[in-house]
Amino acid sequence: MNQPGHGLRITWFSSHAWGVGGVWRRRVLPQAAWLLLGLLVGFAVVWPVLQLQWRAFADGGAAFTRLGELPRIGRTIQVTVILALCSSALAVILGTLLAWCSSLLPLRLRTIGEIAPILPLVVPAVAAVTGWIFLLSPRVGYLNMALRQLPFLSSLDEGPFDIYSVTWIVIITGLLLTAFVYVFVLTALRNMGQELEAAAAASGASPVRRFFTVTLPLLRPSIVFSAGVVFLLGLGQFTAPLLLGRTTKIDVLTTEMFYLTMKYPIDFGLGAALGFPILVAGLVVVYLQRLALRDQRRFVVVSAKSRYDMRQTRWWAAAVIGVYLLLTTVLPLAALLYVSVSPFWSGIVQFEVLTLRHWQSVLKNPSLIDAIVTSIKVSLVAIALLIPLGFAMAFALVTANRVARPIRALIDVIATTPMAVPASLMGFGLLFTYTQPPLQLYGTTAVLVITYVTLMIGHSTRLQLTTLMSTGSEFLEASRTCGAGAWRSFWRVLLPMCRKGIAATAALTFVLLFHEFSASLMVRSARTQVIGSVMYDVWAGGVYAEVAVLALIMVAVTVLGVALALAVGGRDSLKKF
Amino acid sequence: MNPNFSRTRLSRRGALVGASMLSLSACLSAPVFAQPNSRNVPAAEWTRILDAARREGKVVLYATMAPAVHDRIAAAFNAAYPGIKMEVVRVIGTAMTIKFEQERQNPGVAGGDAMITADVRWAMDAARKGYLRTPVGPNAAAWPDAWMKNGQIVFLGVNPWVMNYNTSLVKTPINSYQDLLRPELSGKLASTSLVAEVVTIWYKWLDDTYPGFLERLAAQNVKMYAASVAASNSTASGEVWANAFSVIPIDAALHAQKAPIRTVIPNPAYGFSYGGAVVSWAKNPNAALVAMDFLMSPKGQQVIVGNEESASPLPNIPGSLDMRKYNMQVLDWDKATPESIKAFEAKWNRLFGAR
Repeated sequence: MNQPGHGLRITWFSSHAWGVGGVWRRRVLPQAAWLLLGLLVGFAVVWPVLQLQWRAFADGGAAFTRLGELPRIGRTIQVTVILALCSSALAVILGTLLAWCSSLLPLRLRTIGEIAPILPLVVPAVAAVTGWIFLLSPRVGYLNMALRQLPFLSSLDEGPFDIYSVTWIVIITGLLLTAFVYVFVLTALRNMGQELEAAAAASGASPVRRFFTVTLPLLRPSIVFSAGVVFLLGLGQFTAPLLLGRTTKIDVLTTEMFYLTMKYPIDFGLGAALGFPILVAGLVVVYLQRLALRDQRRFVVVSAKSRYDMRQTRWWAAAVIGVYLLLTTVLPLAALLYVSVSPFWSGIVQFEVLTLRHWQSVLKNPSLIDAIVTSIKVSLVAIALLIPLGFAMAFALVTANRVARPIRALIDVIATTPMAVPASLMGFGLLFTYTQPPLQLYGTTAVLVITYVTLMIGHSTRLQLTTLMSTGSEFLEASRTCGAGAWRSFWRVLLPMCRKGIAATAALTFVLLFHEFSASLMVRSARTQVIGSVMYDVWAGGVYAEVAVLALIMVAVTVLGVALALAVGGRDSLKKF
Repeated sequence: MNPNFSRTRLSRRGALVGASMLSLSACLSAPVFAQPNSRNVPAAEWTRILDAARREGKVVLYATMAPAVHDRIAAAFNAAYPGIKMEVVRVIGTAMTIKFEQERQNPGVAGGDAMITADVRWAMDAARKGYLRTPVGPNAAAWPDAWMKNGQIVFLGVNPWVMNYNTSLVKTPINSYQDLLRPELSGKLASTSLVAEVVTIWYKWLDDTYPGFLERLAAQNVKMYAASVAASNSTASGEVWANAFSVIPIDAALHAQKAPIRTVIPNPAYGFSYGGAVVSWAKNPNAALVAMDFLMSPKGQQVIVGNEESASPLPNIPGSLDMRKYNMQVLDWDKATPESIKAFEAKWNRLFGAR
């Protein structure tokens, strides 16, 4: 493997051979192109954040003084950190376990089994939490009521579980985040060769020992990245604390921001100050990730791309995934389905009163179809931009000897910043950026596309980075050695190898964009509905049965969108999921 | 009277408090006539506005009322003015404020022409800054001055804050706020946290009207929800037995599904008015004036009040709540200063241990 310095010396020597024009073409121009990419995406990502942060630091940092005066702000920060730590720890453990179980699935179950752990992602967070409320409300939750039929629980009037507790907020947040870890780790696991595991097996190591001594260390980049990502998502988690934390007096930074934005005049400075710790945490996480991984190429395993499948299959792996799917997706969706055909949410189960009137009411809503079309259109355009941008940025991060270190650092920060800023707060930054000269885009579809790209560029980069890291540079180097040019090697070798990862990224991005509403609410024209905003409107002004209907419609459209993304990416890309 | 609504008895204290409202509500019994005010325009000018409105062909109304009320308003307006299509867009909370600010600064954007908002404080600021137009027309001219703010904001009726309870679980009817303090309701009560300024103002009214009540309510271990919709749905489900804070249109949606909840309008009752206004940068300014005039008309008021969902400032509107019957007090934005609200929030936080 080339050492970075050695590679640079060769390039420099070659450049002299090409003359002064060669130096420009071979060294300056590529760096300038990377820099331009960094600056363009950097502007889109960092400028809105700066627009907010200068409000936090204006007037000598008066907003931070106001922050200190908020009641129980210390407790709020403490809860935010605990929630993020516990939920991300749960997500990492569960996500890694599920990815490992997926790799152990019998072949006939593998395709469906690999998809199962990401199915919770197709349920919008508001719908998922509402589904859990239907299941685990202390008095009338369907699961609680069923459990109270058991002999040893029959004396209880409520419970045994209380959805409105810290424990369950952590569990539900962790479950919502698990799929992210799973996608990261599974992508790495599938791209990782099994030669080292085979060697360990030949040396007599048990499957569990192989997992802990070979597989897990090799998965470190994916686990560290995903841990960082879900920790940041946990810090910015909003839905579960808002819907569940209220009754138990649990506040986190994002719910504080929410309440702030509900009052006129909105104190944007204080909102930015509240988001500042999350932003700083994001930068710290990036630094720690870099520290933990250092040279990321250490984790690349040269192989014939998993042609050799030596892992023994296990039926219990399917059981683990099945239980997970039942708890996280089937039961909440079943609860939503039942409530959607009930006149209203009730603790009394009565099949004779079931009705389709809420379905008819929601489907008659003329703005619903418009919203679905707008969401799909904007999401697809955004994905068409996000995939190449994210790929380029991931490529810059993974190729240490081709991109100058400061530019890589810049791109690293850019790829992390959107994940470090809650979408609702970012929405305000985007609003300030694109409603003032020279970029007055308010009310256009373009501003929605830019918003989606800004919010998701981090995810797109990180997901494709995982794919690239697991791919390694050896095949690319072999192609170059055989005489192929850089572009030919890219088109004929690298891109086909990453195709499945790209399709998986596109599908995941579609899911996230289709469910997004907090930033869209800010930048969209009030007359341009997206599906998430329709859902929010129904949640804020209707009956729960209609919320359930819309949630199920969103799930259905999301599934169709994911299927389409995967179909475009190739049937084989299904195995990424 | 809607059978799902429970009217409470008038207490002596309620009678005293309600007496203060008589002067305000007295205008309801006064005959309506065109008043010599800036809202009165000559017939020829109104005809010109109507013609211009038909040429504009549409009006976009940003509103925060319940979706069912929006539907009623749009249907009735479109029937009354076939050449002008009303589009009602639901924009909740401060999002409307933000939208209007952005649309004011981006004149090329086709946005809202008029508003119906609960966030009257922003509308008051907008009026002071000259962002609003004075509503004109025959119905605007006849509108009682007492129900105007800053000469440009129309108080489109009064929506009382109500309680509700699950009739399957609560056997002894709840009639007043004091009934929420009954021991059997401890740990089984819902309310809404301070998600909007009007919610804070309601709590403050409770504290001012019933000294010591909030302290005792807090001792009942009330479950706070992030929205009154969630609290009311939880009450209907039986998760909680009673909910201290709701509005009639939210409950009406549950009544329509035959949910076992009863809505109680306390006595004295406290309510707020939605503020209607036309923005000065409206893309369809004439249609916006016609729309606002419609909302101020007896027909417009009838669709707003629905089936006793709110009280109209105009007399003899079918379906309007009788404010005097409930000793209805109306939120006074001049008295609810930001400073007093902030001070009260601190007390509320101490009592309920949450925002």
